[in-house]
Amino acid sequence: MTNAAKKTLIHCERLGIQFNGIAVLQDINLTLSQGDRIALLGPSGCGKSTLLNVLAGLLEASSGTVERYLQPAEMSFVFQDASLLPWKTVLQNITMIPELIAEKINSAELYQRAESILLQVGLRDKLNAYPDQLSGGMKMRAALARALLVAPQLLLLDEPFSALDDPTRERLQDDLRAMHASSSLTTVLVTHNMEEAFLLADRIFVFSHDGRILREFQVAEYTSGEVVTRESAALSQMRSDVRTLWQTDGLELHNA
Amino acid sequence: MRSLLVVLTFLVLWQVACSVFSIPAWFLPAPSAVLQALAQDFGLLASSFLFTAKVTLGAFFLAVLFGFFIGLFSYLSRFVKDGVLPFTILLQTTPVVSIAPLLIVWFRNNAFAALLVCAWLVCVYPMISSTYAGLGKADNNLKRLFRLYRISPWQSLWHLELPSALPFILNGMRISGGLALVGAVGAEFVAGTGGRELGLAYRLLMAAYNQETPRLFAALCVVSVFGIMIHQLLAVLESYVLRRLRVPTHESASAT
Repeated sequence: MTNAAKKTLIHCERLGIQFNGIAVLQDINLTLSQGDRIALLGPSGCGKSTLLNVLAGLLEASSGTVERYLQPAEMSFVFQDASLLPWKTVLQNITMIPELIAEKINSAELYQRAESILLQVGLRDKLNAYPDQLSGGMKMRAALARALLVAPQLLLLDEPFSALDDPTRERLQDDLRAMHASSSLTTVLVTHNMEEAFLLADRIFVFSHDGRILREFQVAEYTSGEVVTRESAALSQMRSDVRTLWQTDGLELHNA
Repeated sequence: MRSLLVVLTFLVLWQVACSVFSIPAWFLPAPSAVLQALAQDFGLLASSFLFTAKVTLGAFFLAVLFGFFIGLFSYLSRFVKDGVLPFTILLQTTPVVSIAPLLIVWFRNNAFAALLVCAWLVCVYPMISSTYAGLGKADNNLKRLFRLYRISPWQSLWHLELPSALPFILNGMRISGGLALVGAVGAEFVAGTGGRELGLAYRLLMAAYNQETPRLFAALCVVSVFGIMIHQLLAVLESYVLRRLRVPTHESASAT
């Protein structure tokens, strides 16, 4: 599908956000089209999550414009914490939102769909388990299943894997990539991890520490059409370019 | 079991100390003398206990009811919160027993009501504050999700905020239960009963006045056992509900 043929989902122009007179986001220009896989990459506190809230319509822009061409029910969120209710089973947790938003609901169909998504994320045998019976990775899978059950056009991921250990994080990143490969789901991923951004996005918006977009990277320009892996030389090249960009912007780098 | 053993050892040591050091009964009666006084005054103590229990449980019930709704409405409305705030500060900072004489004037013909209100004033604050604080502890990510999907505030309250607040409310109930007894006995000390029904505080005062220390200890025993019973019953209720909610005791019920 060419860019011109893609349906625009959200368009931000000269977007700015201020909290108590302090600029959190400045001059953000971003167009999100169907099928896009975007990463918002930047240091902690640079306004990435704030932008995600603006895209979802949970926060009003202080300046500039945001045009949304999709309904709230067509979006979904995955957070850094799984945010599952401890008194509900996995199945009850993931079906809670559709049950609350639907005026009329076919429970049998909903549960069937829920089971199929749990199968997709590898939790089919845990549907009656409670969150305290799940590992950290399983909880995140359940959170992902909850997000997918509303059949979103746009999935907003707010550092979803940052609290996980390395092997679990890599497994979940691979699962999300597999999901990308088999669907046209649009995703916006907030992360401070360059490798994660490189693996899970086609376009990477690199943020400055003061809430500006420094540059948009097209992953394809680095990979020349090759399959992206953690070992790709392109990742090292992009990492080096991003670090240079941040250093030029005056950001002190440690292990970014 | 270990606690019971400690209490029994303490009683044995107390008994032995009274015999060995020939401590006069008017100063410190031996546990056996207290037991004897308990048996002798059983009828009187039982009727006094019933009176104090009525005041305590009545005040506790009203504190749970009003405390919950005041906390709830303060959470739901900034207007109510700002209106209630000066009174809650007053409840915290004024020794409530000092209001007892005023209540006696107001409830001249109904000493029971005066004691009830006095005890209620002592024990209502923990319910208000724990309900208010608990409702604010619901998982922020889920609140964002509920807002994203335009789920009504009432549904959010019922499905998210109230269950999340339950551990705090139960904790508040436990504190309130203990304070209800403190309030009932304290109010009776200050105000007297003014009627035919005499509570445990009256028995304590009369025994002290007549220097009948074993009787005083016997009345004290009844007060203490009643206090422990209230605490234990509410602790069992709290533990049962938290187990049902799969929330570890003394931890918040926020999502995992």
